[in-house]
Amino acid sequence: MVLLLIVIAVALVFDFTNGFHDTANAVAPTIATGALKPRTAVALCSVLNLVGAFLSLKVAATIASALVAQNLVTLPVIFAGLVGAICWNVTTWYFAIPSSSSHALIGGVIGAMLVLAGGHAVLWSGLVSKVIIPAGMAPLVALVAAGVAVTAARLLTSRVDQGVSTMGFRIGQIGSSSLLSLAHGTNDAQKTMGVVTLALIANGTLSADASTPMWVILACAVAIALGTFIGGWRIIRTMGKGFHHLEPQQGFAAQIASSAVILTSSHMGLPLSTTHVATGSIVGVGFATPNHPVRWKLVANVALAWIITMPAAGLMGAVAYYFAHLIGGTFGVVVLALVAAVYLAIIYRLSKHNVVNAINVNDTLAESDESVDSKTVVAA
Amino acid sequence: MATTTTVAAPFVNWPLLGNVVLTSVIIGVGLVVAFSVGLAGLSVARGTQRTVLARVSASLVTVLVGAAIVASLVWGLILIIRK
Repeated sequence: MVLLLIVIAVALVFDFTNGFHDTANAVAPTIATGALKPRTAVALCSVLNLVGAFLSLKVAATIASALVAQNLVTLPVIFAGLVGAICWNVTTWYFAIPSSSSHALIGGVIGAMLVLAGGHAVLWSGLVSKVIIPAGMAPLVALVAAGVAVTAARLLTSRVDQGVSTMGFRIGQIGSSSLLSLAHGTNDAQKTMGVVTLALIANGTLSADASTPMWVILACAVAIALGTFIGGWRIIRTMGKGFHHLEPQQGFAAQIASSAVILTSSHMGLPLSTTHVATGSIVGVGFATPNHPVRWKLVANVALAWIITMPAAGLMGAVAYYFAHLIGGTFGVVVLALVAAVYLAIIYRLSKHNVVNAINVNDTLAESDESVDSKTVVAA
Repeated sequence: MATTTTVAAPFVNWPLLGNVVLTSVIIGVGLVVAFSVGLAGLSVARGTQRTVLARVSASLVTVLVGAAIVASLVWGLILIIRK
């Protein structure tokens, strides 16, 4: 029972990090174009994430049943997977990289599962068809949708007075940002719900075919909303100011395209990464706008981070499981939880040397910023 | 003589992926186009050089497009909730 409670607590911590890590997906364009003040945008996003978490459970079912052999899953495996995902999330947050929390979670669980039972415990076909191929396609689909959308918007409003256009799209961005926040809550909170459900099944509290209990839905919704409210300002700055200079028209098109992709995929039960979709859309609107420079070096760095996210989180999950198992029992899990807490505290302390918050989130990224090389800026 | 045939599930569900791509692009582009048309209509409606008839028709377009956007969002959410 103690072990189950620890796993659920760690799952909610992961959900919290998912919230602040992914706030940028929904609000970065809104903040970057000045459509809403940073704090207002984040608060609105937080409330709508809470609402969105109650709308659908299709992705939760996918996480719980399509990626690993449920009958082999143990609580320490889930714990180790979550620790791997949390550590990777916080590390990428420190470096201001918009990586996928979903892939970190999936990678962490699979890494721990590989140590426990080997390759046969992982449903590789499910992993490829439900995660890897959609992950490759998500940014491309979003890029195309956003690129076509912003081109259409530009042509249709070419004769509209600039002031009216800017004001109109800024107002529109409040709606599109809200829709995207709702979509994020719908899509992402479910992943933690799926993991908690898996833990309850592994513990024997729920039967294998049981649906997600209401208290799990409520707890996950609140955790992701609180995380969102904290605001992952470092990543918001990367997405809003890093890739290119976003105009309200571009921000609106990017957010609507992202919402459409995420809501559609969520409706059809595909666990698409909101980070990949939102990044693809933002890059897409820059790419489709003539004479609009895009920082391709940063895009490449982010894409590289996406590729290594699952293996890196998997490695962390595997190491966490190995040592928890080596120490043994609930005590091993407690020790690993403390080690993870110390790691998070160190990262938090390091982040204080270069604070990004609601006040400086719209500052242009410095040329010395390690994640951006302005010399490589090329015209799209 | 009866025979049985086992059909393996496809490794990648291409029809589902194709459906996601097509639906996303149609909805995403459709909403942005609808909003842009509404904005252009609003701009015409605000123009001082336009005739009364043009301003009225532009306002009508704006209202209709706005209603269409709201209706499509509500429809999308209802669809998700029912699933």
